[in-house]
Amino acid sequence: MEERSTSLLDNLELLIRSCMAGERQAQNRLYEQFAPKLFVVCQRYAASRVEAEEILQEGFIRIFTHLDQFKHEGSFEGWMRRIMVNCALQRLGSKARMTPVVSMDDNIHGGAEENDAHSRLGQKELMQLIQQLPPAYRMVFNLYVFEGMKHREIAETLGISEGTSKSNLSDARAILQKEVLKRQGNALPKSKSL
Amino acid sequence: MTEDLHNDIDDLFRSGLEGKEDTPSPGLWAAIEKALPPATSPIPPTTPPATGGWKAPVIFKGLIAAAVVAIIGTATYFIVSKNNETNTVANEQTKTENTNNKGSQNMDGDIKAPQHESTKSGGSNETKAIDAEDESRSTLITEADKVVLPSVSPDNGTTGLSPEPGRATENPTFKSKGKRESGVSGSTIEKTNISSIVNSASTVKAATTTNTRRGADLLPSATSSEKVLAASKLPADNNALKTGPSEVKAVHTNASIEWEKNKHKALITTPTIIPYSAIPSLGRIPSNESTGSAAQSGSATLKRNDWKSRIYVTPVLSINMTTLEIEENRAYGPRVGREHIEFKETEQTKTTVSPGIIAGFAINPRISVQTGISEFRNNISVSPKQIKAIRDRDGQVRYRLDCSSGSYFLNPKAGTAPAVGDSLRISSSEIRMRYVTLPLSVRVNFGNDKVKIFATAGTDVNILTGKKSSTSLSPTASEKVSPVRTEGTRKQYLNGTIGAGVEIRAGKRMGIMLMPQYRFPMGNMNEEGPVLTYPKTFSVTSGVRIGF
Repeated sequence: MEERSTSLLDNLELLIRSCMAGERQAQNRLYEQFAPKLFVVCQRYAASRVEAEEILQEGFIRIFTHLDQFKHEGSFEGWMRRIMVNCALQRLGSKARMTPVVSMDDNIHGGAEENDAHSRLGQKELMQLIQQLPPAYRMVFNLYVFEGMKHREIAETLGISEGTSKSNLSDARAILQKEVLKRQGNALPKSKSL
Repeated sequence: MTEDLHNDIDDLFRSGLEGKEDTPSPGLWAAIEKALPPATSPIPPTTPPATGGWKAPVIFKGLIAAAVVAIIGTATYFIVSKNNETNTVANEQTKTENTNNKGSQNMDGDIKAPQHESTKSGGSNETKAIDAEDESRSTLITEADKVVLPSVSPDNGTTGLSPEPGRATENPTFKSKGKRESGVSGSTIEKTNISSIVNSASTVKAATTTNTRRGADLLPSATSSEKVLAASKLPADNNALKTGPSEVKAVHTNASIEWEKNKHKALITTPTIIPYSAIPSLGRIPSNESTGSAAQSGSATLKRNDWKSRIYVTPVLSINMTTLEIEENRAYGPRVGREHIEFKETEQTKTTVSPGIIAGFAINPRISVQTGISEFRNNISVSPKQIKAIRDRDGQVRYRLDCSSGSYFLNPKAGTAPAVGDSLRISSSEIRMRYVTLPLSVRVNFGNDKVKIFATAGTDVNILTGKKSSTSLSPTASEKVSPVRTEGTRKQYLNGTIGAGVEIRAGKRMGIMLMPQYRFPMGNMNEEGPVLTYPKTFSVTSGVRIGF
């Protein structure tokens, strides 16, 4: 087991070195290996799939051009993920600051009716709910729930106060909770009628 | 209850999306590929994680820079020295043809050069031996000399030294002790320098002291129509040849014998005396004044060596104007990335003055390699800004002032201890970084002896020796707070230098120098921060060059 993991690490090391040398085949392999996971990360921060692909593209270009800055001290996937998050925040940062906080009724629309709701929401639905959040809420929610950052760190990262961070998170949760219940509520009568 | 609901929502999304995969559009890779630079280098070796202190990449960069400087310097030296050598031969031959000869000799008669009295041996036919030390030096020098001996005319052929025309051989003349051999005459010096001139002169000195040598002996191979180099006279005071090493002088003559095929005449020029120290391989090159008649005799070699000393030092004082190029560090953790804009807006660099000393070694009159040590200060003034309290690595809650050069943790005495998240507005902050700079550069000189224009190029290693900051807090602006901890400044960084200047001679061994210089970054001065900072410095350096 240990041998296998060592071999994988060696392969990754070799792959990184090949990518640093600009070998296109190696870069493609790295992309194929990590793009699916990173694409989900990008989608969480983006408002749409198209925007997520743009973030993913920019992120991979940064990864390939800054591979020399990876210090081999932590997880390579974690390093790539941070770059993706960073790209997303940069892209959405100004948008988030410009977007006024709107009421949940004004903001949330559409999506629920389009889904074939089930008692359990799938990946696609969950992603859709996050993408429908206002950018400021979405960023705070992502940083708190998925990146494990504290409000203080979020405040420093986004250049907002801790109070704003807490408020945004609370609002984001409330919106998501309402939407989840709504979809589950829609699904429930159908299942009962069956 | 509310907390549980929150946790449920968080868990729902975390479990539903964390670690999941989704395939992006198939055309995305093509778009990424198009934006990537083409492959340019082979697979780089694995770089071990950097350890504290000197980091491997910095050392490599320094070594590469030093190697480049050394290679360029050496190559330039060989190119320049080769050109000078060729020019010297051409000049020497021209001079010998045009020299006004005080002594002359024809092949039928005696040497008509003035007799030297101090070493006469009372009419003895034996040649006086040269001073032992004198000869040892001659031998040393002649080992490097190669003389092409020309063909000897069959109707004379008394030399016996040149069996094969044009064959390169070690000059045998200079190995003999006092015995005048005929190898000098009848030879064409194809390659010459001061050393060979000195040697020929030394040997001839021994020959002429006997006062009995005949012109026919000196020029036995006179049948060939060639230019020959010979010596004819001794210095006025031969005691100079017998003094200690520091005073020993060799006889220099640029005398030449112009052998004309039919007339059998030779032209012999006035000898001159050059200190041994004047020989490039032995030490300092004298100025034109110190060489006396040598200057008058128009030796091309001496004119070329109008520089004063091989080794020199220059105490300098530099006025430095630094600007900071601040870029976002994209490899740093997740953030919006506005720090580089904020730092540019809130930080101003100040003009500083720094002393130093440059030591140089002149490879030749034109090229020098320089090194030394100097102090470099980088002072930054920070405008009013908001800072926040965070918990540092020691677990203490302190205010952190982030700057382009690193982070400074402040613990103001006034007021209550800060809690995490507290903010404070500073009215100003002064950051002072002090470096010891170790330069390595190549200097190329142009111009004449009195005014030299020069250009330099090289690299500096800047080692951080001190870092201080003084922060004024609002509203009590009178209180200055020093950081209890600093982070994020690299202990060393590299920069390249280019400069051009002028040096005006202010004495035999002194010159006043003024040089504008530009220091461009070869690495960032900070580390592990949200920005990468590259200092660019324009300096005006003045100093007094002292030769040794």
